[in-house]
Amino acid sequence: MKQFCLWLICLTLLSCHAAKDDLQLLQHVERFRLPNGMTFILLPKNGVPIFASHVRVKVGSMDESADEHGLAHLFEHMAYKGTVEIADFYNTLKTNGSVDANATTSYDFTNYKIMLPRNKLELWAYMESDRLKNGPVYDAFFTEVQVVLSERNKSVDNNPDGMMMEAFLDFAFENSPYKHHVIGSNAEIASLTPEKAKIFYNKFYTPSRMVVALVGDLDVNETKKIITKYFGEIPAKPNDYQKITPESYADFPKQKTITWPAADRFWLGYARSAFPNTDDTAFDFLSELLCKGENSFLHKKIVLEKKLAVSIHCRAAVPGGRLPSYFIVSGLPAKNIQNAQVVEAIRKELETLMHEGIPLTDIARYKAKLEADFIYSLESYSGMASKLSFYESFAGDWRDIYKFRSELLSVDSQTLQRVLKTYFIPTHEVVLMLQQEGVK
Amino acid sequence: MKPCFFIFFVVFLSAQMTAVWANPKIDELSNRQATTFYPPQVFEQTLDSGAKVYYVKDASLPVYEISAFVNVGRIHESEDSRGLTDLLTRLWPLGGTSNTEPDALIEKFDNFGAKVGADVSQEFLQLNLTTLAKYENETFALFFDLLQNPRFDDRKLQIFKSKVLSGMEMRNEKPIEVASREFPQMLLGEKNPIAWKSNADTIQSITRDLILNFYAEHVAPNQVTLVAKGPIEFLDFLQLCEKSMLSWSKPAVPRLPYPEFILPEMLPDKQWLQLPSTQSVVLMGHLSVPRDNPDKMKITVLNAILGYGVMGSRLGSRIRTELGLSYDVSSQVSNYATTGVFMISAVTAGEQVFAVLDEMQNVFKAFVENDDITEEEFGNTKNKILNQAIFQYEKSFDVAWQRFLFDSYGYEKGYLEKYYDTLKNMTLTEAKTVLKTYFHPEQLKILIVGDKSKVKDLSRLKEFKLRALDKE
Repeated sequence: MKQFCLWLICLTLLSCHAAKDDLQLLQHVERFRLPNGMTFILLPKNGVPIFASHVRVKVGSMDESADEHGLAHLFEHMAYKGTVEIADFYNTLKTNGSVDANATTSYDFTNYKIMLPRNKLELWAYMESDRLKNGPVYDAFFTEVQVVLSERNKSVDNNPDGMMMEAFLDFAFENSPYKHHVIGSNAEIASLTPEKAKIFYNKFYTPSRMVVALVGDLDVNETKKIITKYFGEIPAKPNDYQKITPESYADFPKQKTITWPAADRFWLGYARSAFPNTDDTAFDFLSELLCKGENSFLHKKIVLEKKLAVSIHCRAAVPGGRLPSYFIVSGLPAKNIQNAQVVEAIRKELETLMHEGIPLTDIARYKAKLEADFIYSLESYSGMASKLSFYESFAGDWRDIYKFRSELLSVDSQTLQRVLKTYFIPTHEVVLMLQQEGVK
Repeated sequence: MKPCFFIFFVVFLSAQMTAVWANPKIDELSNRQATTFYPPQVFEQTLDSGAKVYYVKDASLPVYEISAFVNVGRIHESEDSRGLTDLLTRLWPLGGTSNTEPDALIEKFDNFGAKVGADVSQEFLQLNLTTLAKYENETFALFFDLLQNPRFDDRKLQIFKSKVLSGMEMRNEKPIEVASREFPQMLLGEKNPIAWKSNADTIQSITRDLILNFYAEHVAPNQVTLVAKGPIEFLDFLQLCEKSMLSWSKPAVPRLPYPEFILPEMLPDKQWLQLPSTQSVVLMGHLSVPRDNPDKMKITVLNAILGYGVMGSRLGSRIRTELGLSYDVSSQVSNYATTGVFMISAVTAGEQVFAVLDEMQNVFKAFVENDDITEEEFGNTKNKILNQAIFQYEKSFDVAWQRFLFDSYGYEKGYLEKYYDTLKNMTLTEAKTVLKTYFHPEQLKILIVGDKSKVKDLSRLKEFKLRALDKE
């Protein structure tokens, strides 16, 4: 689940731009590809003798077949169980000073991240390349199944937001691989086996699906040598697996109410295009303009003025971006207010924007915010590694940071109005409402 | 102030690594020479107004990060206005100033791409600004206006109050949140300001006047410390601050003392808080030492062996890795001014709760009583902490913030470096001498939040006092 949020953060940044001077740091980026197809992005950042690495593998729950649901995530857990050569993978990293050693699986990607002191660079290369090349040992597979069931129990079965995500995806999608929750159902998780995991690993953990970003106190030439020495040994594998499942949008608009032992809440979704698309920047911009900050449009109208809700949130692409997804407006109704009242009020506000447009001053204000947010984000070693690997993996070239900057600069009221009129309409709409159990 | 340079401890560490790895390749690569590192200089100065400044110059980005810390926090709330500092900090950055309406002020910050926020901890209020350097004059003026002349707009206050009250209605939805809220009260007592909680009545009773009075009584330049990083020289930064604070001529106010409270007896106790759920949370713990205890470092290392981090510790290895009973299991020690808390926690499925409880207790008891910590386990844990120490310097703002915090706590100069030096020289024998002094399996207070209908062995419930959740 964490990765999903990370993806959203990244996608938000797709619409961020920065003045040319502020992007100077990125002029030092080095990109190269090994003969086996694995891509590396290096960003030297002097100061503290540390580095951050993100290994982004283009495999998520959307790539799973029907009998593999939950496997991308379970495999990510197994990747810390050690290899034939390195028995205690996780503790070896920790003892050597790793922080933020974690991995996340989303609907689109699996991302292995870590930060280490600079003098552990070659250790990192040895360990990371070994697990990517040879895969994990599976001795503890069924114990880890129990751990993942425990994780699901916490993050979905006893978490109203996790439950809403699962219910929304199941209701909104018909055929799409996004229909099932990334963690899988209890039965699906319990049905996974080491044999399935090995097939999954061989199918998807191919060098050409992997992008590695390293940010930190790096000597580029030395780092390239180390990378070539260790990661160059990983054999190339075919990468011809392509899953195509056309989605059906019949019976729209769709609306459903479920009951659950938690306070009322709603998800209002609008079907949108997959990434990359010319409207991506507009969706990201709308997500900010409608919901982010005290003076954002929907927060101001629905929460502050009409007092219909206590909170409103927007997300530009749920649950991911590799396939068509949903723009989501979610929220919690105020006391004695029904979900349906809030949803109707939001529809009306969106219609107003469609017809009246968005004031230029608001657009300028959000451009300033997004520009600044991008510059602030450059401080984080791990954040930069995430961004670079994301752009490279998702868009095919990390330099699309510049492309999205120019697209953001061209966003205007007409573009936003067009996107609102194209997508934020009944034939794209799905509403899921949670009504508190036992309360009428 | 003279620059204070020194060679960072990592340089020495690599020569002293004692861990020997079974895999010779790892052994070789783990012992590569560390880079010499000179931490950034932290500049300190007291302004004419009485406010203190801690500053680190960092020209890598054209960005300022600045926080105004005020020496008053959650522990200073009166019993009938619990939640006041939380509301104050929600309202502070969004509630306008005496010069500017709330929405107009927010818009001004937004127009410059500046981020403004506030926070409260046990001992400090905190107003934060992140801004681009090119707008320093404009955004500093707005920030210091908020610090000196906050409006705490009543219309906004009512909105935040309703948000807090709505949040209270949802605060029993997740077992882990219930457990985290209730256990400190069990350990420290309901009237302990570290553990107490607000309720609908105390929130309803908070008015704008109460907030204004609290602010007027406790916030003045002599109680404010500006902690910052920025791209300009220290003297230039001081000028910026002096210029912005010229008009703040408020007389000094006294610093509130750390409140005194009576701690409950360290007697074992078992309580079950009924919450319909398929998930159960087990928390157990006892009181620990305050932050000035000379054995704090030893306790930290021992706790790390027991349960710091889910994977690799004794608790994690047994309960998660070997048995697969829990996704989250760990232990932690929190040190406050006059006391501390040691706690072990685990989250598990309702039907497994007693299996997890027994394992937690067994691992903890064996850890304290068996005298079986190995040199390898101890050395690896030390190396983990020492190797991670460099990350304290990742963000230059944090370097300044840390210095402020240590000074505020009354720690000696060079505290952090001495802390790691002590750790580097610590032996297993020394650490073990305090094991039974500070870790007490026989004194554990235990709280389970879960659904008793999910339990397999109902006779075990008799061990517990059953409690119902308070209705808010």
